Amino acid sequence: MYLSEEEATESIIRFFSVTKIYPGGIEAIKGASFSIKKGEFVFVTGPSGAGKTTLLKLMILAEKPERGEILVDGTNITRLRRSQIYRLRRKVGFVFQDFKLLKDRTVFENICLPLEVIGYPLTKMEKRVRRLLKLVSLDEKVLDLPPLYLSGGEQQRVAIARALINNPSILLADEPTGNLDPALTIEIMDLLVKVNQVGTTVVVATHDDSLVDRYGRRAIVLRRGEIVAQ
Amino acid sequence: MSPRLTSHLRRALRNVKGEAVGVALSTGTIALIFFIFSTFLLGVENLEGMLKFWSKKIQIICYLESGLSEGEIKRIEKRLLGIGGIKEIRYVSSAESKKMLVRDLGDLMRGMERLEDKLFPATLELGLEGDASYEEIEAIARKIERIKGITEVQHGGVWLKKLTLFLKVMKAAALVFGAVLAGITISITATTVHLTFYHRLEEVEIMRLIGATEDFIRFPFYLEGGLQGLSGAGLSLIVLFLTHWVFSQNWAPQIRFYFGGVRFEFLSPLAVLIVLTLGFFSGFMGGVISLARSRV
Repeated sequence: MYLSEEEATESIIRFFSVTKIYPGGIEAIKGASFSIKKGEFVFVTGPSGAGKTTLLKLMILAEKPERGEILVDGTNITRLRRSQIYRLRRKVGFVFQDFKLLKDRTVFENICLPLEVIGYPLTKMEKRVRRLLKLVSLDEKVLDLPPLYLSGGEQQRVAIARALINNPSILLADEPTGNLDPALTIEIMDLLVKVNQVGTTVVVATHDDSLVDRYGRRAIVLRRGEIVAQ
Repeated sequence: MSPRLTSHLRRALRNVKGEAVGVALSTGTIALIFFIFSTFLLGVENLEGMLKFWSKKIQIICYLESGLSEGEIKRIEKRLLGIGGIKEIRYVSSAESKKMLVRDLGDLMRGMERLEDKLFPATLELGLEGDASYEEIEAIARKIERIKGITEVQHGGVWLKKLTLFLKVMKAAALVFGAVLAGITISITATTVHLTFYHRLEEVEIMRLIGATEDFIRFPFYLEGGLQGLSGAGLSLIVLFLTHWVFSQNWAPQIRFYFGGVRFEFLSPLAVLIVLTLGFFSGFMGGVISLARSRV
């Protein structure tokens, strides 16, 4: 695993022959090798069960590979101890298809969650949250509401705001528009493009090929755990 | 308060709110157990107070040989004061002894008034310094017995010895009781915290994905256990205080009469602190053990 100096400085995510096998011998990812450059916008596509979610999970060590190595922002994450994984996850924002917002907290508290875990003072959070709300086009009025009072599109915006609150260098989005209608899908995708334009590397997993066509970005295509195009 | 501690406390309280019924049940059970323990402690503390109160009133009675001159009695008194531990000496003549006996025993002494005074021995009644223990009283009594002119020495130290021994047993029992109680509290809170933890698994998962450390995730659950234990212990103290107050207002005056005027006090601040600390730490440990077992 040798990288040229240019590769090492340009790549923010690199997979080297990564294999993930689930219990029962199911190979979810088979020898995947690819790299994603800093500031790039990349789609991970393929049909359901192709391994898109697993690939994203491997990037934050939510799953551990059986073989191969993964570099994220210059760190070989496959060698991280369990007690060190939190450091990696603080550098990466994650957006889920089902939003994964905490129902018994307000929108404000949900957005601040990543700051809360690092012991960031509450007084300084407000300023940051208000700035982010503008980026994700949400009204300040929603801040005190529980997320269930919001529409699906608004909830996904809250989830994106949460993922961005601690200025991650990478944003991973797993089927972020899977639960949304076509109009909202475009709104959310446009928002992710906007996030990418301010310098964040964005990786979006989707089974929707029309999105890849519409946005014309690089796509890593998976079929039964194998990368068939990139 | 640091932002982190505020966050832990808020999450712990949210956990409690989210499992209100379960937490109320476990807190109630802990309160009941702690009430029994606190009542036991109250008994031990009052027994100790009673022992101190009575030991202050303990007297040693020295029976004198008959026919001692005033000079000889003065000499004995001087030697007694030289022993140490004796605060005051009161001489009771034969005539006075007879008078006191007739007065105290009433009808039982009818007809005895005509007996000669010299049949009733003169005594020296000794008041002791501070609250002397049984061993100290015994040591003084043994020294007194050797003084010439004294025929017999009597004191109420025997019951003091028995009561002291009883108190020691009660204190040891309190320790064992406390340990058993802590075990029960740990078990109760461990079950409740386990339940809360599983109901919050999604939140725990989200926390992990956004970079929370395991300590950060787990501490509110430990705190939740601690708060349950503390609330249970606190509740038991409130109930005990009210019970003690009702008892003091209605029955204590009559009972005090039979116990020689001793006062029935509420738990000392130290005992209150012990009960609350035991409640908090056993609950906290319940949380720790619960999550250690969960392996999630």
